[in-house]
Amino acid sequence: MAANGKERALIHLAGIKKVFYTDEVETHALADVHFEIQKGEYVAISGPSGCGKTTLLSILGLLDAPTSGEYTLAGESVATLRAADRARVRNRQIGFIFQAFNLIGDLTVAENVELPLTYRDMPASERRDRVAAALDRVQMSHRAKHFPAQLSGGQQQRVAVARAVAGDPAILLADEPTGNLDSKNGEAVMELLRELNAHGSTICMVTHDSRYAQHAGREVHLFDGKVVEAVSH
Amino acid sequence: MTEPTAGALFSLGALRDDLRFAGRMLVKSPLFTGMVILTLALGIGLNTAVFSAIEALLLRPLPGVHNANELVQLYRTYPAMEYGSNSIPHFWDVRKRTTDVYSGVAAWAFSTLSVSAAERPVRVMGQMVSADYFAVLGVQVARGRTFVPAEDEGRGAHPVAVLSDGGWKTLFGADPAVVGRTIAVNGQSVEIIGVTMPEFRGSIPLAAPAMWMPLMQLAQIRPGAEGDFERRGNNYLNVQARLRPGVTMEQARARMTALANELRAEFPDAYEHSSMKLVPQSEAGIHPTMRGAQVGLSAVVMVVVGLLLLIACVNVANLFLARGRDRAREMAIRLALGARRGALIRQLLVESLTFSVVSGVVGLVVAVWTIGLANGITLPMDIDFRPDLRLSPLVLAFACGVTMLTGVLFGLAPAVQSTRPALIPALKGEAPAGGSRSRMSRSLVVAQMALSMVLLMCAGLFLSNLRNATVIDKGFVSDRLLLAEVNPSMQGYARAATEHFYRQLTERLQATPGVRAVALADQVPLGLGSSDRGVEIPGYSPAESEGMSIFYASVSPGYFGTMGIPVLKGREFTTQDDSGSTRALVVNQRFVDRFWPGQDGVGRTVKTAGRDYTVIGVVPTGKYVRLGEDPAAHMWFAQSQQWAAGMSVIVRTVGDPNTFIGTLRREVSALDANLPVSNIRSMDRHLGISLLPARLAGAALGVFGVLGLLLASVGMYGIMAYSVAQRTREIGIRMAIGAAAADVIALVLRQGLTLVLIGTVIGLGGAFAASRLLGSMLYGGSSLDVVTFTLVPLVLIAVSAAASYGPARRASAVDPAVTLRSE
Repeated sequence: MAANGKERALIHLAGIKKVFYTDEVETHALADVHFEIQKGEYVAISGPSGCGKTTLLSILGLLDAPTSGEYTLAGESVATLRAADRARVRNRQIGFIFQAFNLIGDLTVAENVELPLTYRDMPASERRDRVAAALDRVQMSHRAKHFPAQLSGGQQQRVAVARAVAGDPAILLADEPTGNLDSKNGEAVMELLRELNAHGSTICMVTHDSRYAQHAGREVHLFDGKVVEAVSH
Repeated sequence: MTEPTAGALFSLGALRDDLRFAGRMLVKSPLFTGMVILTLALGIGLNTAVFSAIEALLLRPLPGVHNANELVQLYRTYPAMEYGSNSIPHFWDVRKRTTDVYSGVAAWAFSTLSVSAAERPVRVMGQMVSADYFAVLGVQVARGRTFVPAEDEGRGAHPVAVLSDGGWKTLFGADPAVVGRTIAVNGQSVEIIGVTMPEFRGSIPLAAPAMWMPLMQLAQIRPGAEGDFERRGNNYLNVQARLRPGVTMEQARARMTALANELRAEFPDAYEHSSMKLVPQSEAGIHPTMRGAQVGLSAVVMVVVGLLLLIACVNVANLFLARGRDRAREMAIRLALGARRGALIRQLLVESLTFSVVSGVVGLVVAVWTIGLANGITLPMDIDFRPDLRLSPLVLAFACGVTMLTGVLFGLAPAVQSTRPALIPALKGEAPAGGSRSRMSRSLVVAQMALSMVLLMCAGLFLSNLRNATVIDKGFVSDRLLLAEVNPSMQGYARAATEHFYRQLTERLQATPGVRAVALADQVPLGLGSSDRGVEIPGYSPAESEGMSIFYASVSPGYFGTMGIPVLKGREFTTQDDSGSTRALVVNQRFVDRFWPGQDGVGRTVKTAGRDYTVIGVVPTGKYVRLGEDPAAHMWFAQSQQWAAGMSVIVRTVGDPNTFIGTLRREVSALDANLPVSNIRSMDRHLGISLLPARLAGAALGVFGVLGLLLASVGMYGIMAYSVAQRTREIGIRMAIGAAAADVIALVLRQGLTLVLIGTVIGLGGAFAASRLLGSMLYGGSSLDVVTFTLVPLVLIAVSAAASYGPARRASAVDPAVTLRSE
């Protein structure tokens, strides 16, 4: 199954381990994680605090490297890439949505959305078109010239979603995307993610809120750094 | 998936985006921007100003001269003199016999002129020049004409003068009808025939003559110089030549060697030990003998001001590093979105370069202000001394280069550090651990302290040098002396009338209450000028390459007493030593030690200019030309036996000599209302000429040192304040478990002083090496000055401790309850 899955799946993790070494203490954040995400899937990773959700998402997003194990993204082995290659893969294949939005305060809404595209060899006209389309998708076109500080939390997260989708990535990784929002804005962002998924986007979301996990097509439970259960909704 | 190309990394679009963002960063926090720009502008501005001085002194081609790179200076050489002057017959021979290598050869000599343009005559510095002087230099006139070849023929037949732009303005109020006007110069009627273009300021840097007259008028301007047209040994001319197109320096040198051989064959006595040397005009400067000191001192000041800029860069690098910590999240976001480090480093460098360009513009304002101050420096001499520092294209190019280098210097380290954030904590908005960044900050503080130490040590050594220069034993008592120059022969006085005038003036001044003594001398010590002549000592055989030319002066009776120079043996001149008596000579101890070691010099004979002189007195060895000179043999003639018409009047007063200036003018005027008195100054002011290099270096390095200390203390304060802010929680915990305020202050001070001590020790090593290099430029070779080496580290440590104390006090005021609760 592994060999078949590796060829078929968008994301394939096999035997992923992550150990943090601090002074003389070893902390096993992830232990022998096997996990796949198919193209077009909407997966939620849930579990209690400290179970390894964010570590797993960081490895999926190539922000961190596993201590051991195999990670294949769109058929390319990415576990041991050089820093420059990881930056390239992040830029082309992955769209991030953070809990804290992580918009750059000194850039306008449009410039924030354009930011990942500026790190590609892409003509300015194409970048402008993609920014306009992405802002359209999240209904934030009217705020293109504003700075993040002039927006509400919900609006900022919608801009962050627009930034994530602007580059047409293979997968969207969302880390507690509703964590800094009230319930109304939280629902709106979840609805936005569902729409994106309905239009073909592959999404992997980390959440500790079971209500939001229900929005995903599949829910993976982590406990003590291991996948203990996978439930399809 | 294609990799972004290098072209994309430096594409115009990307650079435009970075520039726009940098502009926003510039206006985002005015305090940060202001501090950075002020610090850098100071460094860039002072570096530019110092370079403008180097450009004016060493690099700038002679202004107003056509193709100055084709010009060479010609010198006569002797065993003990590398760059000697030329005589008139020698110049004529060179000009006549070198037409194959030079398209023209011209000669000039400075000459003091008394010009009667208004009611009273004015003394100015002029030049006697060969008629082809302006043609050889390729100088254009603004009015009238320059000299024509016919004005090189017929002695005394061409009473004409060309004015410099400065002379035209100061002497004639820029009179548009000046050409054709007849004036009196040294009592002779002279017609003004032209005014040169304003940019031409003479044939050497810094000193601009007011007027030029043909060499053929020499005897009319300097009575007694008639014989100079024949005397091959009277060397005082400077000779400049223009190389023919295609002729190399080597070819010209070979021709000069051949010519020296020809002349030696024809005039064996005059050329027995003499040859010729040529130096490109660009390397000759004021005089080749001064070139080494000029280059050395320029290099020291440039290095020191460069150190100041480095300290400023380190300061700003630390500010950027601290801001980099605040921007770690922004960098993490950009990296998470796929930015390559190269792109981020480029973005941060564009930011730092934007800051440095703005600082460069403000720095130019600092430079203009500093250049204005430097251009205001005057010398206590008749010469129109103008530093003429400018923001020339070369200086502007230097400023641009320094600005760009500054941007990279202070921007690179923070850029490299800031683009290496711990991604996950930064994205979660957590405070970075910051280990390596703190290490870099600390390293920068250590570097800054070490640089400050070297800079302060250089400044300290030069200030100590200035103190040494002022107290150095000059061989005479310099306080309460008034000096002035008069030359009755310029008003047409014959020798007898001149002698009568000096006798009357001396008597009248001596009768003035408050005047202790009066004397005359044709050379006042330490005025940069000197005269020398060859001597023969019966019974003494000079070594093969030993120079037998000795500095001398002609003085009046009572000179040594007036100057406060004790007579060690024998006696000084009296009125009995006149033209009819035995020729007398006073020599210094060095003269005796050299020619009659271990013996008494009094009664010995010295032959010079074909005459025998008897040594009547011996005085201690002093300083005669430069304060830093090695002990040199010197001799003095009685004025009546070695006639000199132009003398300096030396008045020893009871009180402040400056209060006698009016008296001196009145007494001269009472004897001859038309006789100009010039260059009236106290001896202290006169010594300013010799002290000028030490004073300028001391003042410049002193200012740079204080600025460096200020920057270092600001840097120290910044890093300690930042460190305390970062350690607030740790300090809170320490206080919660029982640390007292004094313990916290000690903790912070210890941290700061450790960095200072490491920097000081490293800096001491650098300062020691620097002092060894500076040794040759310091009076008395005091490069290992104990006071400086003790005082400077103490000052640096004390100032750094003071800079750390503020943050330490703030740390001790941390409320542990509040701090721990907020975490």
